[in-house]
Amino acid sequence: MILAHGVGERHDLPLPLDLVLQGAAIALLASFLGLGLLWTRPRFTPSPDEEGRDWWPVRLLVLVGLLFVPSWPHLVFVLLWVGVAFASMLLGPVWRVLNPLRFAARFSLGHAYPPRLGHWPAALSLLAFTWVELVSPHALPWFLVAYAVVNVAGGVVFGPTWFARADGFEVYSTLLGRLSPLHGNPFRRLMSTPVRPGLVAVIAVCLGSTAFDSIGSTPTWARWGLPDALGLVVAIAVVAGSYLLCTRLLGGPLAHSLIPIIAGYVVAHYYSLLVIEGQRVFDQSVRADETLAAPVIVATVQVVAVLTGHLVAVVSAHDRTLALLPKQRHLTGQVPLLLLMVGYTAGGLALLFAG
Amino acid sequence: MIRWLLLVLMLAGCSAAPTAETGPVVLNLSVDNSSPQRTSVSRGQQVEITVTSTKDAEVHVHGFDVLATASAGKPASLKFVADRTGTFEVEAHPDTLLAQLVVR
Ligand SMILES: [Cu+2]
Repeated sequence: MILAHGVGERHDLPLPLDLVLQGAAIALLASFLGLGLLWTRPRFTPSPDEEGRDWWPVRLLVLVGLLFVPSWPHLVFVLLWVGVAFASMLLGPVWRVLNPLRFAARFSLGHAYPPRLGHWPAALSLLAFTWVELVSPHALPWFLVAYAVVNVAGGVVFGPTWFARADGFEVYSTLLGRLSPLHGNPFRRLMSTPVRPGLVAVIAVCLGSTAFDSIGSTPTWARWGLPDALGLVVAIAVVAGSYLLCTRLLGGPLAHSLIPIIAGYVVAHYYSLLVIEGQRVFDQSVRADETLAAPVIVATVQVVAVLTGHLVAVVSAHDRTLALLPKQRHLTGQVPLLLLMVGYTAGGLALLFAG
Repeated sequence: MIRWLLLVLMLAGCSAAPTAETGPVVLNLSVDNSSPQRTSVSRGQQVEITVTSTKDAEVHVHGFDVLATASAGKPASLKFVADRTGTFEVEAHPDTLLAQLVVR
C-alpha cells in the first residue's frame, strides 16, 4: 500500500530465504503426496447457503457511525478492506450483515437481476478499489462516492440480489466467509460457491492486486520506473491467464478452490498492518504497541497462513476434480491445477521474501 | 506434516535473531538520480542520511516521522535511532523512493 502518512508506513521484514524455500518444498511435497493418498471418490457435498437475516438496526448503527469517522483512509483501508476480510474468514459473511448500502434494497423496484451479469460488476468495483489503494490513494473520496451511488442505484433497481452478486466488498466478504468454521464444514461451504460469470475475474483481481502490492513496494520496481497502473493490470492478467490456461473449461467450477489461497496470502500480507494500524483507527496520534508484530511472530504467521491456504486449496480442488472428470483422468487431470497452486504458493512466499 | 511445520517455526525463530552492531548507518542519497536500494539496520542503531537535490525537496523517513528539506547546494540531513523493526521507505515527496531501511 502506498498510502504514506497515516496508513501503511511500515512494511514487513522480508521473509528469510530458507523459510521461503522450505515452505515451497513443503507445498510441493504435500500436494503430490495428497494426490496419491487422498480419497478417490468425491466426499464433500455442497451445503446450501443459508438466507442471511436482515438485521437492519446493525446497518443503521454502521450508517450512524459513518458520521463520526475520524480518518477515512484508516476506516476503508484498514477496517473495511483488511478487518472485514479477517472477520469474514473467522465469522462468516459479515459484510452482508453490516453493509449500510443494503438499505437501498428496501426501496427496491424489484427487477430481476440479469444472470449474465453474474459477478462482473463486483470484479470491476474491486478492480477500481485496488486501483485506488495501490495506484492513486488520493482518489479515495471520489471512489467512495461513486461506489455508494452505483450500489444504491443497483440496490434500488434489482433489490438484495444486487448486493449479493454485484457489490464488490460484499462478494469478497462472502467468498472469504466460506472458510469460517462457524457455518459448518468449510470444505462443504467452499464447494457450494455458485459458479457465476465473473467469478474467476473476482478471484484474479483479489489475488493479483495483493501480489502487486508486494511487487510494487520493492526498490527494484521503483528502479524500473514503470507505472503502477501497468503493474497492477499485468499482475491480475497473469493470475487470470495462468489459471484459465491450467484449468481450461473447468475454470468456473474449480474457482472456489483458489479462495483459500487468497485467504492465506491476505493473512500473510496484512496481518501486521491489522495489528498495528488497527490500534490507530480511532486515534492516529497513538503509537501502536508492536509486540504482536515482532519479526518471529510475523514470519510464523506468514508461512503458516500461506501453507494452510495451500493445503485447503489442494484438498478442495482434488475433491471437485473427482466429481468433474471421468475416472480415467482423475490422476492426470489434477496435475495442471496442482502445479499452478504450487506456483501461486511458491510465488506468494517469494513475494513475501521480496516485498 | 505437523513436524515439518514445527521445524519451520523453529528455523524462523533462529533466523530472526538480531546481531549487535555498533556505529551509525550512513547513507548518501540523491533525489535527481535516485536508484533505491535496501539497507540493513539493526534495531536501536543510529541512522544518518544525507540527501542532495537540485530542486527543493521534502525528504521523509516513513515510520520514524523524520522530515527535512533539501535544496540546491544545501543537502538535507536526517538523524534518528531506528527503534522499531520492519521495512521503511526513505522518500522525497510526493513519490520518489530514495532507499528502504530494513530494520531487524
Ligand atoms: Cu512521505
